[in-house]
Amino acid sequence: MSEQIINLLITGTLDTLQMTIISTVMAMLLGIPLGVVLVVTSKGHILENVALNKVLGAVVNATRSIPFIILMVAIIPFTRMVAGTSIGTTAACVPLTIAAIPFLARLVETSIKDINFGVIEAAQSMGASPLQIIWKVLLPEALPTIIDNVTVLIVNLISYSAMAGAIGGGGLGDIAIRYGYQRFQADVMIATIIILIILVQLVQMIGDAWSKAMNKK
Amino acid sequence: MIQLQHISKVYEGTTRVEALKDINLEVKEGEIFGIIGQSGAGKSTLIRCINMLEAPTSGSVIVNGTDLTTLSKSALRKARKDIGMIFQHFNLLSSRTVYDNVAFPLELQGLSKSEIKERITPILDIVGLTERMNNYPSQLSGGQKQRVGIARALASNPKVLLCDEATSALDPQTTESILKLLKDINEKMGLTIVLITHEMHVIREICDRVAVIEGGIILEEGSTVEVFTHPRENTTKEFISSVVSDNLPPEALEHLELHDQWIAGTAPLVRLKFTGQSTDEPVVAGLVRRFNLDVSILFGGIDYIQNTCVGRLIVILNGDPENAQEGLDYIKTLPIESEVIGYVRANN
Repeated sequence: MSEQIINLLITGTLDTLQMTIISTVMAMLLGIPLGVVLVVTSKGHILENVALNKVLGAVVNATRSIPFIILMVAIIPFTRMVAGTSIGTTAACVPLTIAAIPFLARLVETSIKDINFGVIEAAQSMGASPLQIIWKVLLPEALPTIIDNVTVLIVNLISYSAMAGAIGGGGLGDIAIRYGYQRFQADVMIATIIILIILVQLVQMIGDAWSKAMNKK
Repeated sequence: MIQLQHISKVYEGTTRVEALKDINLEVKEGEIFGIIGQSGAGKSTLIRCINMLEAPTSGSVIVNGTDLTTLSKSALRKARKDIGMIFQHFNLLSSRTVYDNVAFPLELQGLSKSEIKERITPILDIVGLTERMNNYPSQLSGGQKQRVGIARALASNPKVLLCDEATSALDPQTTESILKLLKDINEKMGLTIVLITHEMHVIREICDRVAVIEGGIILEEGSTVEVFTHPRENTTKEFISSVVSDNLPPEALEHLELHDQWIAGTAPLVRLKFTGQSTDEPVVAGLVRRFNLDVSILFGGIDYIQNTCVGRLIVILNGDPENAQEGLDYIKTLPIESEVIGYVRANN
């Protein structure tokens, strides 16, 4: 492999990491609160608001039902508005984040719903406010599973970010398509695949270890 | 301390369920009040009305002079700090250590770390968990988990402790030790305790007064000794027979050839009940000596309910029918209760 190709792979890896990290952080900032809201506003929960819950649920479902490659193209005007451009790594972060928020929100919703309601009632019986219940009961109790959720999200984002190449997003996926597929450079194709596998393995290992360390059950 | 006035709870839904129907109860300061009922009787709903985890459909819940049903959400949260609660499945936070679980209600109140430590240290000592304070709930046995639950409930110095089937998930020995702990706390701290259970021995062990609930209605209510010795309702009798049996097994009755009438060759089968002081009466000896009767004891037992001795005997008064009649008359003059169950084949 030429030095040029190696440099290309390094840039691609960094691009992939950049897209994944930015969109993961954004998705956590917005997706975890959305997941919490989906739980606490559901029927019989601490901040019951069925109308809001239905609307949010519908929006989440709508976003999740659009295939990523189509979502990416469909929101190009929005992407241009936010990132100033619709091409490149930064631009790719916008659709990645948009897809990641509802995905993570649903996972977090399930994790929090798994908490035994008795624990919430115990907190209520001690005079906890809804906000205290969210901060001191729901999030800490669900933390190990939320770490698992984020791990799944990162793995998904690594794979989604490969699709960003299709609209000039850069990253490993872009390299694999342009060099490996269109120029028949099998060695580049294999190299990108190996790098992706290593990335996913690392993320999964770290995520599993962290979740396990946090889990006191 | 607690007054429940005309409490009703209706669950509207596809089928309308009336869980509680016009319940009136009063729990006095410093007593242990038990509510017993089968599952579905409404006892769980009732105890959850006391701290408004369930808001009653109508009626007032007056705790320590305040009607909780009239309070705003934030005032209710404040009022709940005076009402501790423990649960059948403990409901501890799995992500917190024993110490941090007990600290939880104080954290909610915004106490400083040092204040929390000062409060918790003696409480952990009372429940006997000082050595395990850095363990997580998953590392504890059921009994220890419930002790954490009790410590957590006590941390905010409540005036009332609600126990929602607190011993139902525990084995008999652990149940015993938890009940003893509750009794200790009640005596030492003057804490008013309301507990619900489906187990009569829990009532016998620690309750001063008891109410029997069925179908959302209080069937009867009274001091534990009174309810144990003079149950009025069949449901109550069934509960009592689960811990204090005073019936002969059906096989034994069959063998005895029970008759309704005192016919020739039969002798009276009598149930005797002693409560408190009357247990000192030498009844059997009196019957033997004074009336020359052969008293066969078929069944006997003595129980201590709330430090009151309750004795039961089932005897046959064998002997001359006239003497037996005199014996029966004699029993009636004594401060004990008696009942002629029937007449069985005499032994002489």
